Amino acid sequence: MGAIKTVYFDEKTRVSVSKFQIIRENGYVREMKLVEPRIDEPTPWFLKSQKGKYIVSGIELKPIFVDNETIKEFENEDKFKEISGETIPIYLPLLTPDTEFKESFEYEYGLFLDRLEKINPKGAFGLPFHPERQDISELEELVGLNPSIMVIRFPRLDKIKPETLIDKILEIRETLPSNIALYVPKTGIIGFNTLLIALGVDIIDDAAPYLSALEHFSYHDHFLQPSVKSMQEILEENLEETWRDFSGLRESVSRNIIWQRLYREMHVSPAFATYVKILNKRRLSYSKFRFDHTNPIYFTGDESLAHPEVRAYQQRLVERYSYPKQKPILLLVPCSAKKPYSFSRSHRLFFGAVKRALGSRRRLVETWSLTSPLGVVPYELETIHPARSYDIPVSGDWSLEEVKETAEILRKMLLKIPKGTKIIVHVSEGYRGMIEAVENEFDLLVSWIGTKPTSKEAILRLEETLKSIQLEDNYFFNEKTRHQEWIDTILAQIHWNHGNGFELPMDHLRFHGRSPKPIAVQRKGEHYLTWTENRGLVRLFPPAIVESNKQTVSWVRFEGDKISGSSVFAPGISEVSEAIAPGDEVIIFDKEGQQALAVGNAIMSGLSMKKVSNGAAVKVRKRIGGESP
Amino acid sequence: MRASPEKAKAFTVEIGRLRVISDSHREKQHTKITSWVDNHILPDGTMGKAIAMVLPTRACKYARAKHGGCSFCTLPSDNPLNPSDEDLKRIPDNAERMFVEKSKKYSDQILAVKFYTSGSFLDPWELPIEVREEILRRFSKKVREIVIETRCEYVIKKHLDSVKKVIDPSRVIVAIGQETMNDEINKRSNNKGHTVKQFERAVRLLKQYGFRVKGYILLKPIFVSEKLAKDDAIFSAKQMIMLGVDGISINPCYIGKWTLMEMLFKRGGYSPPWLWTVLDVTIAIKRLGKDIIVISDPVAAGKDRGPRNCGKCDNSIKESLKKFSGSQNLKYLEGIDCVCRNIYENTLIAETFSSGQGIFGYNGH
Repeated sequence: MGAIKTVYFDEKTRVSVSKFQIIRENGYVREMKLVEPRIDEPTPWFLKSQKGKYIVSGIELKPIFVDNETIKEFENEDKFKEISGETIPIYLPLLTPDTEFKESFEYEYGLFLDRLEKINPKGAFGLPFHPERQDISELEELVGLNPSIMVIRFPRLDKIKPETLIDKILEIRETLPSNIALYVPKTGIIGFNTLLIALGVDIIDDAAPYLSALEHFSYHDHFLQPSVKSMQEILEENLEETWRDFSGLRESVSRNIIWQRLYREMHVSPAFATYVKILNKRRLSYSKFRFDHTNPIYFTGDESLAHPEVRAYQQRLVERYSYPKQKPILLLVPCSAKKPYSFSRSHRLFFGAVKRALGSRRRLVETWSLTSPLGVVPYELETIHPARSYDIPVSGDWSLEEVKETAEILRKMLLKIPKGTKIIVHVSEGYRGMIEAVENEFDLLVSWIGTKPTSKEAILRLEETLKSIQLEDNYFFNEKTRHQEWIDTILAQIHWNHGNGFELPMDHLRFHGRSPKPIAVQRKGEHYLTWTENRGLVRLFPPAIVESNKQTVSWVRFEGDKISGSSVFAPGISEVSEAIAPGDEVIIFDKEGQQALAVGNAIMSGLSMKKVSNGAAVKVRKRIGGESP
Repeated sequence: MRASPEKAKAFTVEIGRLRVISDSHREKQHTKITSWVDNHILPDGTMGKAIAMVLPTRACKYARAKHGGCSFCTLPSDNPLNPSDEDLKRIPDNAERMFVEKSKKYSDQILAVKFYTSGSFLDPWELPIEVREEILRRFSKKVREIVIETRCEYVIKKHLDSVKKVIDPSRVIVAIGQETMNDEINKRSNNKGHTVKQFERAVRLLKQYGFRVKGYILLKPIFVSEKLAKDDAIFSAKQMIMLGVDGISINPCYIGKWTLMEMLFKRGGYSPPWLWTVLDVTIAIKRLGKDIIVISDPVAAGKDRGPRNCGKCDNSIKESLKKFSGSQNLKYLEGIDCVCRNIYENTLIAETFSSGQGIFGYNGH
């Protein structure tokens, strides 16, 4: 087990307790619930000013300036009782000197921290951090004080360079444990909110619609432009538009389409387009993005080439895909609008040609669909998100960037196939660039590159090309063709989750049930795994794990030696693989990593588990060698 | 300990530097008296006018110090840098001439005269004792009340005795620019050099002599957010009233030339308070005590460099504050509304959570 040594940046960090619990994570966006005081409304929070106060489910976010008087007040335990349950205090330094007065600022902030230690805040509270004045190491120190909210104070949001804003927020997000909420105050700017939420900001407010009205800027119709209407009218428009934006954001988060929303919002103004273009150049933590959801994603422009779910897919594909055994022919075909591809008319025509050409030996053919922006989708993985559920505008034209990026994925994938495999290319005109980019490096057998690869002529050509291949006759199969196809697919899908080093016996399998219902797969009379064919989802059961070589990339090590509850909590995890994406199947091992104790699904990413110190991290599905929860 | 004390007043280096620039623009010598007429109310409720005069003294000695004096103060720049003894001796005559000129219009309504020196009236370095006494002697016959300003450190028996000699202390209002009753803000933002303790001593002594005392409150010092400024002004007023001051003057910040405040303002690190803050604070302080005379007459109200609102309601609020200050009647301040009141109320909190230095000049694009 390629154990990645987990290094916590500070022992203090690990014991720090945020009062937020992650209930769902996807990328940088987390839905969290506050447990003390209890707030059921999950993050992201969109604060709407009510008579000058920010109140979430009856709890007020209240600024408390820390001076000598404050310390005296808090010496009395009652003060905490007084504020707990009704407020989430946000402690702020009394004075906040300007950036230029570095020393004065350091003094004030230092004094603030000294006093805060005396106050010794309890419960859920917030602390300010000034990214333009403070070093990220200071943020790490702040985590030791157990805040639940970090208030990111940019002096003027509109005056910061887009690069700085994005890099600072990303840096803060990656440094902080995922269950500490980020609040960027004085926000609510139309078109800009989505960016903040996508970057992992958990709390924004509605100050901007008010302030923009003051400056005669209107948000009407989701634009940001000067208006000649009266201030009252502008204000009403702005608030209405902002609140609509907030509810749209909430929905986008729960539907996993926040990045799609971002690509839509970027067209509101050139300034926002700049943000997205810069963001697309940044490397994100792709292993935080989940694959287990079913929401379609739409790629509407070049910017979606860098959609983190695309990047996550490509990264995982190159890392974890292994070419199936006994497939001497690789057929490259174009993608189809219908998903999964094999349901489309074009793919049925291609498979028809394969069947006519090779008959029962068609199982010797592996099929990859070439597509933008994903690059390559092997047949076995076509039901996996996002391959199953994306859509692109079909114009037949590919941009240079698209060609370059997808060709690179194809190149990396072709390096994985065994020597001697015959590669047949049967694609439409649009793929020419992609094929030309790799044709010098690999020996390609071109069946068709041109318009209408589904024409009668093209299909005949494919048949002839396949027939022309001389196959050796030393292939031996235990299984029927159809079963073999299933086994290859299941194995590829297991590798998708556990890495291609994970091996388990796949002989003597018996399949019960019929898609779209989950198919129960038995081996030696025991329930071995459950396969949801139409979602590309394989769930391993204890016998499969026991029989496997346990070389998974999706592992955690559990502190104790027996799993009792239905969840493994973050503090119980001693080490964790960074490769775990939220929703992935995870095998829970003992402290030494020798014995598998249980199997379950990750509630948060491995990267988050590393730093988070409370809340459920893995939902246990089956315990190994014990009754199940 | 994270906070090392030597850094506490690091910003004063900049004030000192700016003060040198400011002083270099000061006229070496002049004898001009700037003067205007204010509304005035006496403790018995008599309403009338007061003539305010800025006397061309040497101006504040504290501002001449290496640390540059108060971070917001631009007043000394209007005074002569180095007036001759003869010039200083001419002040009583000039002031009298100015008084006669100004009072023509108002004849018998003039109740008081206010002497501003851009420093401390009681500081003998600024204004020689014999000149000071001469001024007080002459004007004690002309008006019912005289207002003078001073820093705490000149409130000592020697000077009070000299004043008492020429005028009945109950007719003299000694105004002290305490600015805030929070020592931390005074030390690390205003660079005031006053402590609450000094102020308490000064007030007690003045009261012993029978002087009337007015406390100045600075609304929204640098490094302080609008909400804190609001809270602090009200807190300071409460404390001052507990000490027994007779009046409170609310002085919202405006951007004075060559001040640290101006430097911050120019790069977006500070903006003057909203007029709503001024209004709210004035009402809240007046409600603290009926007998307390509350003066709130913001300088540069509605201007870019002064306290302001959306632009539409600025003038009416300014006028209302003037009327209130002259009458002490809260009815002038009640029921004022504007769209921007809604904006103000609902963004103050976000302003507090963000770095909190300014709302105006915000462009969300």
